[in-house]
Amino acid sequence: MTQHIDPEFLVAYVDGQLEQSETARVEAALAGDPEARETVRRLRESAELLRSAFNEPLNAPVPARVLEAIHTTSAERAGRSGAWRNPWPVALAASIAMLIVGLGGGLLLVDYRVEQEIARLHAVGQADQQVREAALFQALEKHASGEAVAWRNPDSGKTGEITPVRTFKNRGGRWCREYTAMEALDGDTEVRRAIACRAPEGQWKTRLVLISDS
Amino acid sequence: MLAFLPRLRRFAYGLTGSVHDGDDLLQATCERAIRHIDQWQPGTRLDSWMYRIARNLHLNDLRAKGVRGQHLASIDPVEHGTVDGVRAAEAQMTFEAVRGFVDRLPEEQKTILLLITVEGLSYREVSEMLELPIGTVTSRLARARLALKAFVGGEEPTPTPEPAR
Repeated sequence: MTQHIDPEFLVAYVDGQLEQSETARVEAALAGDPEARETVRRLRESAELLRSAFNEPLNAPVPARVLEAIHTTSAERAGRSGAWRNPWPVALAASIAMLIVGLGGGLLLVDYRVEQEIARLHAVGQADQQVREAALFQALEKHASGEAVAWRNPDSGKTGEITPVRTFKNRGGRWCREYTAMEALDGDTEVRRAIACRAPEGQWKTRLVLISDS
Repeated sequence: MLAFLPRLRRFAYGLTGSVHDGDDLLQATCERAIRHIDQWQPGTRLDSWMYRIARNLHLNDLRAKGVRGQHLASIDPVEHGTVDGVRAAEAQMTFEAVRGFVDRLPEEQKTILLLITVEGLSYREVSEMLELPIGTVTSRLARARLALKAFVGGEEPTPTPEPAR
């Protein structure tokens, strides 16, 4: 006879938010309830997918306009600090603003490095690679299987098409997609089949090229 | 602290459902936080305080849009639709689909889901931040999480069963 576990408890259990005694009770109940164990597994999996779906801003640089606004506001604030009514928190507030400005400065430096890197890539003529990767990210991140994403680099004349084929989870629990990549230049066509998996930080890394024919 | 700005940006992205609106919200939040830094209580978490500013600004924004929406006759209705047709199972796998699901959640569930499941705050931190009883936080989160599980698994949406007697 299995006793039904309140789904709210299962969610809190998955999140590690139960009291010790409640955790023990849920675990005891789970031992005899395969259906609830399946629910726990799927709660974990869907939470993981949710986090992955929102991780993009963690790798992308914070936009310059936001950093500029932070600098400007901090400077305004610092300029007015003499007029603050309550004198006590001034030093503290100033230090927090400095911390945020410092942080902004750090990120600007990172942006600058990224820009230099992009310039270098252009210099060695890897524009194709960029267009291809953008299309690949677009295809893997946003398109259902069977939907092709086309790309074209007008500078080199190269065109391509990337089509996700299927989606699955690998043994390590990462989301992976199989895709085909067709590329054409001056009548020469090349088709590849590959598998890419999504790193926790949001990049898709191609792990395996299955077939390569030309 | 160094890692915080990107996290706040992620939260703003989740709340607004778009990168552009998210960045507007992020910017407004930082400006407000700096201007009103003397309202932050030393000894409490700066990140929780800023998440809260972001959420309040977002709610104000929605209210303002709601008022405008009454003038524009047909604002598209927010529905808890299921994914259309044959590609459903596949579409549900994409991150875009998951973000779409979050976008359609009621505001109060969305905020709690993002703060706890994406940002990693505890139930208690969120209950204090939003000034809600912890039981309310727990049940709203559970509703969102069970709906998410059903959505990802392509399950038929079923009513939450009553706890057994």
